[in-house]
Amino acid sequence: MQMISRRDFLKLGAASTAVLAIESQFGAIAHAAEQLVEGGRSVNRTSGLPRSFLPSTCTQCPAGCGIIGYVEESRLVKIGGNTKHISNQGALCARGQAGINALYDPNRILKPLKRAGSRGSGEWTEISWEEALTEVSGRIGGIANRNEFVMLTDDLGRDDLARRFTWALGSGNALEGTGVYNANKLVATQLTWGRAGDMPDVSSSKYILSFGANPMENHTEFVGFVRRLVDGMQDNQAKVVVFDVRLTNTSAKSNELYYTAPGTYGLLALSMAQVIMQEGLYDATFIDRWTNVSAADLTRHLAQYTPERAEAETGVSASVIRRIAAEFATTKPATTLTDSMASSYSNGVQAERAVMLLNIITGNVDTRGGYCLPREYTLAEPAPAPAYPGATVLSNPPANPLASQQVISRTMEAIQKREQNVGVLMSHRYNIAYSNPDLGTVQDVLKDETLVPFHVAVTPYETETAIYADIILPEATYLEDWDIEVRPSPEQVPFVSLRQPVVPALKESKTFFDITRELANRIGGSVAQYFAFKRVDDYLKGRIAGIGGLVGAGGIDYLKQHGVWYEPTSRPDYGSYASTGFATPSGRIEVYSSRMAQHGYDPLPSYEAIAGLGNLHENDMVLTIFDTAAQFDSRTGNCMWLNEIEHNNPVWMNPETAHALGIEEGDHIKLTRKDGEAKIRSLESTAYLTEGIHPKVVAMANGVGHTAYGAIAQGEKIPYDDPEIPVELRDPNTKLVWWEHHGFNPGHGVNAKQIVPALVDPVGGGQAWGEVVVTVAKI
Amino acid sequence: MAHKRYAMVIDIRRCIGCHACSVACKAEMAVPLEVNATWLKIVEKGVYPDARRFFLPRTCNNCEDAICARNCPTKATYKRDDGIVAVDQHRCIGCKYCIASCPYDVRYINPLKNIVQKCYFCSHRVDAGLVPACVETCPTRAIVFGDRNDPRSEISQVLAANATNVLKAEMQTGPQVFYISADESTMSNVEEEINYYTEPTLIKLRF
Repeated sequence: MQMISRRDFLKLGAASTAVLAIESQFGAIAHAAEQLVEGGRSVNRTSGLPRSFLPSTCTQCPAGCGIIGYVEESRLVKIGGNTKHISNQGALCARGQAGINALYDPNRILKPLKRAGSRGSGEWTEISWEEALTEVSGRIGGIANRNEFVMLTDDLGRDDLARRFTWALGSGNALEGTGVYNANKLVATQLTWGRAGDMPDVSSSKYILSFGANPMENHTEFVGFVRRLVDGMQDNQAKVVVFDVRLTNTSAKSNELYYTAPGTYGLLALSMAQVIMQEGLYDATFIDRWTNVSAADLTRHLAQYTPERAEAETGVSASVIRRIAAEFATTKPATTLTDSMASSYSNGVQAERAVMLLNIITGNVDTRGGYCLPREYTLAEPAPAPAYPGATVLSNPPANPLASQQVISRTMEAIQKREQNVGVLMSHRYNIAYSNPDLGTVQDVLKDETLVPFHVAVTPYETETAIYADIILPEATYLEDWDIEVRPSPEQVPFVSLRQPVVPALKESKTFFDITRELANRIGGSVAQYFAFKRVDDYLKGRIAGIGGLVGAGGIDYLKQHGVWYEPTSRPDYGSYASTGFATPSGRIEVYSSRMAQHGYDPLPSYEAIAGLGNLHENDMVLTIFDTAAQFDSRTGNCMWLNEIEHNNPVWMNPETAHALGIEEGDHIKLTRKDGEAKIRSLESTAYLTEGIHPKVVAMANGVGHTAYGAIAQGEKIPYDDPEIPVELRDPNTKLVWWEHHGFNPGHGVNAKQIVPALVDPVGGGQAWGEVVVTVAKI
Repeated sequence: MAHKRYAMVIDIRRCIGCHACSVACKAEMAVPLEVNATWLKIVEKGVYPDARRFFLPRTCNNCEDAICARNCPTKATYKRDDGIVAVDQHRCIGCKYCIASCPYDVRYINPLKNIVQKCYFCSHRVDAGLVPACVETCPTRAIVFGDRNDPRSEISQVLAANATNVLKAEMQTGPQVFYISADESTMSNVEEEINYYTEPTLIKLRF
């Protein structure tokens, strides 16, 4: 079929515009003026008048897309994509557009709250900012040992103020939640090619191999990445082959899909690498010049991973493995995708390294259409920068010497065991009592005033974590906040974007900048000097000070106007390692990781079967927790437009498996964990039978099942005229919430993570979500 | 100059089932909870391990021969010169004849205002020179919108270059929403199909 691609058309459009300009005297200019504009503007629905707008940056997922807030009478009425943004190019996903629900959540906290009942009772007294800041700064000032100040945030790379504040206090306990998402992948990539993360150049690929990745529902650079992935598949006719435990939007759109036993992605990748080496389909020059192993040694090492062995454990046939391996090696350019899925197991670091190896031995590293290094700017720490206070038992657990992120899965357990005394816990952005495994233990620790004598939650919402606070400081939402954001660029051209308030902070809510500055000033002493900024601009200017091109273009003022900046003439510098080498100790890709060897781990990409998954009992199933396109973990929990689409999470089961257990669609069932330590052992839900899942796997969606976070997150209606709700937050839609008693019970879902033990890959320290063995029974 | 004829092409090859269009519509048109002017139909078809999932974004077809406009007793529903089927909310008496006569089940009673609404191809945006909200926001550029009467428009070129389908072609209503590569399973059973992602109403066809 003759196809005209969207990209081709846009190019064509540019060319034909030039033609039209020449023809203008014949009236063609009128035609040009009639072309409809794709994005960047919005009009009032009844008056047709343009709305005022400001560019900013989203936080509904990690992608940091460029957004535009459209405002009428100082109320945000719509969020659209920023057409100038090089990543999302004017598009915006469901989550990003629903951010307006988070801004006007009727249960949003707009005054400082002090606990009135027991911890977790939800009883609060409104207090003044003066009283709140005095108490919090007094508590922080009274800490005996500096490390007893513990900060919990979601991602230190993007919450610089949290780190700055913690370090300014002299505490090394700035802890982030990244470990529950993708720490194993970050550690594996860092060890192997010297950079944490990757950015497959999918728009120019010809062959894409996915190991559990599902970018069409969730990806760290969602819109920017998936747009280029579809460009690659449609405009570039890239073939996509997916290995997964269940049917996802990505595998549904793939050319080939193979169901794979949980936790065996590494073995699968190694067996393909074995085929590629054995068949001589490898790139000898690249291996010789840019890795620290020889092709002969690698071939010998991989000999143990035959396709037949892989077939026995993965369930993918040896003939398929051979064919796909050969196709991958001979179709250039090619790349792999893993997101955080291949590494969400206790053998995750090695699984990620095994998948990387496929790109390495075929010479697809950092080529156009290949497996590229993450390209992103580094931000500066505004002077004076607080000194690194040193490692702590929480920030660098001795049992996991290579874990570059904190082993956040075990943080609460360590506090419970008094490995670290806590004086003040500040929770910011990271909803640990929702997002972590072993939630029973997390709750126990947060409840226990001997373990956590004082907990201040900085948040706009009464989340599962904030409910255990002694004081809640009402933070502004991301739509009322400032920050500088850098992300790995799906376009392979790095960019800097600005988050700025599209509307002023509502009522008494304050930005984290103002909160940390005011606390630092009250604490005084050596702390205040690090927050001696007159205006937020001074801090932001310090962040971008090292990026000369941006400073030259106008710096913060440029960003305020455009939302994003990148070198306008910049093109992807594929293969830049050729001049600089890789950022590893050897300057090469460390297929043989000397750092892993140092710590007694297998230094070559290898596979170790996960104990307990090999010989599953007839009634045993492996639980998978997956993300969808309509939620992002805890961040989107109170957005009604998203909850209307995804509000519950019945348990996916293969019909054959279900029927063997006497389970039918909609039956009430109980999942009970077999082994492992976690306080909560079982959960109840309902069965959802689907032909799109491995017979030995059960799956539940993430992002729902809230037990706090306001009424909307818990599927409850809010009366429109409730006098408790400030006028600014009233929305008649909130009385229409319909899903709590619809279909499955409970209508707002169940948090599957509560029964998952805090189990990590010892190398990466990242949570192993995908290997919990459960029994399923009808109740 | 000939009238415009606005139409939409949804390229299902590019659709990833992300719901961005549904939420764009909620936001742009202030569509209340409970009802939808644009939504995603999801069909799972086949038996393990060959089962697949298919998507079909659904919205008003703004038909060439709009039965709803013909049946409206107060002429509240009318066809604009550019082909968009509009509803004059001041003339609507809420009799629901249009809802009963629409073969595509795209009309709903706004539960907060008690009037009939649907997708108007974002006529207020089109009048201001903008594409509809779902087109602007689509992460994978799966939706093309424009004037079919202009042979140089993108939509005319896409329509000329690709085979397309419409829903219930046999009704001869002249739907102006065209689909490229929509799976046959998603094009049938038009009546039973508001699908929420995790609700059990998702259509499953086991063959």
